[in-house]
Amino acid sequence: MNRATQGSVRLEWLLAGTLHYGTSFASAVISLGLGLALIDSRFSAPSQAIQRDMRIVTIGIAMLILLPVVRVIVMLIVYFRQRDYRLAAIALLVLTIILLGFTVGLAGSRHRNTPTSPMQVRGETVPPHTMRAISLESNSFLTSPRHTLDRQEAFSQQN
Amino acid sequence: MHNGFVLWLFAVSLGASALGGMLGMAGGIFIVPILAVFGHVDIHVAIAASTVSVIASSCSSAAPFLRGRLTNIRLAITLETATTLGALSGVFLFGVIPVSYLFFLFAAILLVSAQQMMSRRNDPPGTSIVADTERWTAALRLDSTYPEGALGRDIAYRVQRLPTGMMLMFGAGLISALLGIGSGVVKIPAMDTALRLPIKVSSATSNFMISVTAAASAGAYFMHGDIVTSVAGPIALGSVVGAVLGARILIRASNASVRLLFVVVLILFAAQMLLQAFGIRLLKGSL
Repeated sequence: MNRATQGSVRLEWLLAGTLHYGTSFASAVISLGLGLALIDSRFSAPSQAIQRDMRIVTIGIAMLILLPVVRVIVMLIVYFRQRDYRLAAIALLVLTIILLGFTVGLAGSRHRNTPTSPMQVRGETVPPHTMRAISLESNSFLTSPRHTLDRQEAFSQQN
Repeated sequence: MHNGFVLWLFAVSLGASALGGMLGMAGGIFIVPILAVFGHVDIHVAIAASTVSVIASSCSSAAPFLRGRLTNIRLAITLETATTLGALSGVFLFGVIPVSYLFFLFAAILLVSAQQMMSRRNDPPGTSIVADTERWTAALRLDSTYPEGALGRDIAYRVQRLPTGMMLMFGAGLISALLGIGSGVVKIPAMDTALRLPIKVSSATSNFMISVTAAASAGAYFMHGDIVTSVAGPIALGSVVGAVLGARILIRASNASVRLLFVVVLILFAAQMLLQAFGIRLLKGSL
């Protein structure tokens, strides 16, 4: 019992470290990209440069989304090594469900022109000084029937 | 890219996460209404970006709870099977549910949150060892202890009614994915009335679970292309900073006045979301 408790405490510190450093690193990548984009737009750099900067931001966001996945993988490995097979199986199940989520999103993916510049001003509702509005047409999958169909197909395939 | 808009997004999420962090919740419940109402951002984009913010604030505030042994990680991973499944169902609904329903549901969640914030939470009765260890709980060794600062010793507690808790957690995951919030609103009753955890343990455990729940939906939205980098980037960054700040302020701010402010803000947002659900726009964002 005592050894098990100690093992669990060590796992807690491991997870705390993973989350803490993971968040710091991902935020650093995001702020690097945003900072570069701010500088580049100040000096009216070519739009490819800003697109490159925004790609860095996208990578940072992806890292942030993957951080909880890493957390589950760490738990899976530790429980497996502690021969706590029930908890390891549960961790594996959670991991599978999350990865299923990724696949579902990919199956419905629209392959838009660029991942970083989908913002369009919606003329009629937005006053000219409004910074940005994201057009319903370009971003809602409600208005994209073909894609909604894809999603439903993915759904029915799984069932 | 508009620099002003990026800074505005950063400030909004910083403020929302700091305020949320003061009451131990993610800022998504404020971020989505502000973006949708004042930022004129499409609600789907707002929700997808807010999901990233939920991950950011949960991950950046989890470490102290873990080191303080308040988080029940065995219980968390067990309940996460239900929350992630719920999130997956939410992802499917996200694409087919009409926008006005989303606004309506969001308004309802805001009102329930306001109501919950008014009523003070106490440790549910029967938190300590009165019940026998239940079958599921025993099989997974979920019962645990936590250090109680005031007493200076560890207190043991039992996890009760796991199946009911799992069902409520499924609902929490679904709402979380659908609205881009941490959905503490649903988790709190689950933790209090079904599982009967001590408040400190349930707050820490719920915060720990939020990131994995949100990752299931954020992964889907990311792969799908709903997460717009120029919106989600500044919001994620603001959330990390805000969550860290909020946790610091939590120790100082007087609770009652903060609560009242929150209730007013929540009700205002709920009213605006309701109007929006019916297609009326009263508050014109000045930004």
